Amino acid sequence: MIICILSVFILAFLVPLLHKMTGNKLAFLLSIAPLTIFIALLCYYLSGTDFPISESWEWNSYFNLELAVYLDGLSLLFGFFISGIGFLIYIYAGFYMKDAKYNGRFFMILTLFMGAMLGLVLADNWLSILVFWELTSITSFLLIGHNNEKESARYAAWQGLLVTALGGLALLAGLVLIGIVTDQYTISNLSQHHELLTQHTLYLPILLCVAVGAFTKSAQFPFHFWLPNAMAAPTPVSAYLHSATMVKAGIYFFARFSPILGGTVEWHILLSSIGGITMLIGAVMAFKSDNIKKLLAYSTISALGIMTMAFGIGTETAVFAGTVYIIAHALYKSTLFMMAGILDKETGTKNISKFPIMLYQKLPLAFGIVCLAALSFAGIAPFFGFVAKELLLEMVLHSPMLAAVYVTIMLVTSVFFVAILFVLTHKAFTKGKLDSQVKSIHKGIYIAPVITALLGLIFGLFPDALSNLTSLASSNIFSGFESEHLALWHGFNNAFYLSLLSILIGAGVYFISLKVNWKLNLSFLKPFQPSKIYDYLFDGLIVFGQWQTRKIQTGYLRNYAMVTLSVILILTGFTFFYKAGIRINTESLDIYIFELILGLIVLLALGFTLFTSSNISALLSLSVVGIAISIIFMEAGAPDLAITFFLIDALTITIFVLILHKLPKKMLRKRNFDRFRDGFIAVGTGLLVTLILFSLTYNPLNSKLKEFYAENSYSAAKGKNMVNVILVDFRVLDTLGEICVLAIAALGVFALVNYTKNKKID
Amino acid sequence: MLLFSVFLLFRGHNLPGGGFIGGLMAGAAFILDAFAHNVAHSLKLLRFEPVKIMATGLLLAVISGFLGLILGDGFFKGYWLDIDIPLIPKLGSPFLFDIGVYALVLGMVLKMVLPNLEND
Repeated sequence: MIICILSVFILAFLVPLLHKMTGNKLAFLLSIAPLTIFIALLCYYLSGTDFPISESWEWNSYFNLELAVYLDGLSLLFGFFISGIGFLIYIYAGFYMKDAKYNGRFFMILTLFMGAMLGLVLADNWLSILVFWELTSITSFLLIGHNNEKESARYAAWQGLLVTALGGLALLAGLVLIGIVTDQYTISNLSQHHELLTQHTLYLPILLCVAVGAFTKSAQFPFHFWLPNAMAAPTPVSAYLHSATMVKAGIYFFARFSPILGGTVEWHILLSSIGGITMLIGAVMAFKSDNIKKLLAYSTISALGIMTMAFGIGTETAVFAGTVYIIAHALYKSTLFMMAGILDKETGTKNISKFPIMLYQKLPLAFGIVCLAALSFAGIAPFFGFVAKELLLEMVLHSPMLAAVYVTIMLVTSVFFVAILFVLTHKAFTKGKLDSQVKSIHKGIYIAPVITALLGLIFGLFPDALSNLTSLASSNIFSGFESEHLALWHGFNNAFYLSLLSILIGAGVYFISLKVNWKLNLSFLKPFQPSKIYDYLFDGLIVFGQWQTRKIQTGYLRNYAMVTLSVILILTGFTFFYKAGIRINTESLDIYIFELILGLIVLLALGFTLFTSSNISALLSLSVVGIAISIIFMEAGAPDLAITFFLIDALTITIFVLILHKLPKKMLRKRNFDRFRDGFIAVGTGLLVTLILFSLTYNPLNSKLKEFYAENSYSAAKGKNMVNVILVDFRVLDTLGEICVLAIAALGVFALVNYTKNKKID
Repeated sequence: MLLFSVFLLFRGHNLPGGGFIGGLMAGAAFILDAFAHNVAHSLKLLRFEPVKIMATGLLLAVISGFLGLILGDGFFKGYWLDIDIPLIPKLGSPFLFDIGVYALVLGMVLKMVLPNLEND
């Protein structure tokens, strides 16, 4: 199974190559991948193997990092529509993106996304879940910004990325906290710690962090504003990511974590309230929208709100209802999105009011498909959406807390959903502009939406087919869940009457809206919109960054050195004197005459450097200092160090000399104040380091390291020069890092030198 | 000087020396040549661009680490051939790494110094 996920990633990276070979047929070729996965999952499901199945590859057991996969009912469910709808989307995209530019890149990232999403629902170790989570954010960013020449696409992509990445950080914090509290890194085992977690003092922070993460991904209030903007992506992306899969990742998390964090009052209130608010906002905004993709985006937000609320309520019925609704929504929403894309291509516009009048005559097939999906959307029998809606209504009617509130919210939302049904069918296909024309496109593009629409009908008529799967998934969320059967007809109960009521009111709302043009003047609220807050923060961050760079990165090396050294002096010095104090071991200080002479030479040379007015002399005396120091190293018994230091010194001086003739011949005369200040910082830092060293070596070092290296460097590492052996073998990773830094520094120097060369006017 | 640098490289594992020092020495050798003749001459002598040498060095160093991964141990586990050639240190992955360091330092030094020489 892990191989399954990895193979998707490998496939993704092969896509550009395949694109060159197959051209426009690329998508159809690629669709084999999700189809295979779907069939594989189907085999697992039908063969009646014992669920759950898990598999893991260990990566680093010290940090509890492993690549673990866990297939149970819930992940199976999600896996089915990631692969199933994925398959259909590839076919749709094959027709939709025909002859578009950059298809290779598009399909590569789409495949990467699919792999990441699969990884997310199948992963067991929550560290790997996070990796996949962020991967989905990044691929979504790339896909939204696919038409990167459009400003709106870039803006939307950034917004999506920053909001979901922020959520990702919160999620990381929450998961780390869980790890600390329970010391458990596999999700499948976490449900045993339910008691521990919910009673813990850290429960609320954990819940908030995880919830914020899921809220951002699933576009819940107040993080919902990125989703409508994400509609700047090509329609296959909107249909796949932003309706059926990625945005459900947060919902998946709520489902997964229900047995781990759920069941408490806080959980209930947090999820249900946010879910409820989101439902209403989404439904109303959807109804008001003219742009069909934005309409669908808002209704997705609303649907996600419904699912959040369901998992918030958390009763057996609620969990079951939520699961069923996830399926229903995936089916009808992807259909509607695909149809939106088709309508866009046929009519040339995304705005419903600009569609050609009497469109149903010109595009009967489109009309039919949209009707099928929209009826499921509004929850009309005999579609699967109706089955879901009945369950949802029962859920709110029997909710243990605040049933009346939930029923009202649910009812209002349903009313708007019905109204939207009419918008999508009546308004879109009968009303419109008189003079718009219909283009003709390849009919193959209808294949995918027809399938999903029909599935909505089929499952509506025979819902029992899905009973097993949904029960299985629900049992993973709500322990002790008894198998339920899905049925179309539940009898003349309250849920049914509410349903009828919502249809009647919804129709009423719609037809009234056609006559009366109501405008709600809420413009005073505009500055507080979440999207405006995002804009403030984003622009503010940029302004702050620019200001800060101006202040700190002045471009003068001496400023940087001054700041760095004075901070070291102050902070380290203060800590040193406050905590440790000076300790000098005068006994072990044997000073040889030789060393004294060398020291004197160094001081003389330094003095000469400082007080001479010629640059060349300063450099020469500096090189004397360098030679003296390397002799000291030599004498202290460190030949490697001495050679290295000497060579570096020589090369540095060489470079200096080369640059020298570009500098003025005489050095700058500094103000006296500056000289004192710089002298103070320099001498102070030097003195500080010396004192620290003395204090450190006060007690003789008793290190086992020396013995270890002495013993092992020949036997284990086959070298007699311990220093080199340490560099190249025992601590080779450090050396690797250092040489990378060297390489980057060289490139940087080269770039700087070249930059000035090109700017030089001679 | 070049010979000396290679000598230093080989010596590294058992006596003072090593890849880093060898690389610096070699770099100094080429710079000396550039002083004596001109930069173009030195570059021709070098035969490859400094950047490429530097990059190759990094690649060699990283490959020596990956040997361990491929053969199933950890990253950067040391492997040695059983041959004992006189004068050359034990051939193995640390030696490969050292050669990588040598190349990288050589490339780096030249890249930093030679452009400055050209402005004459």
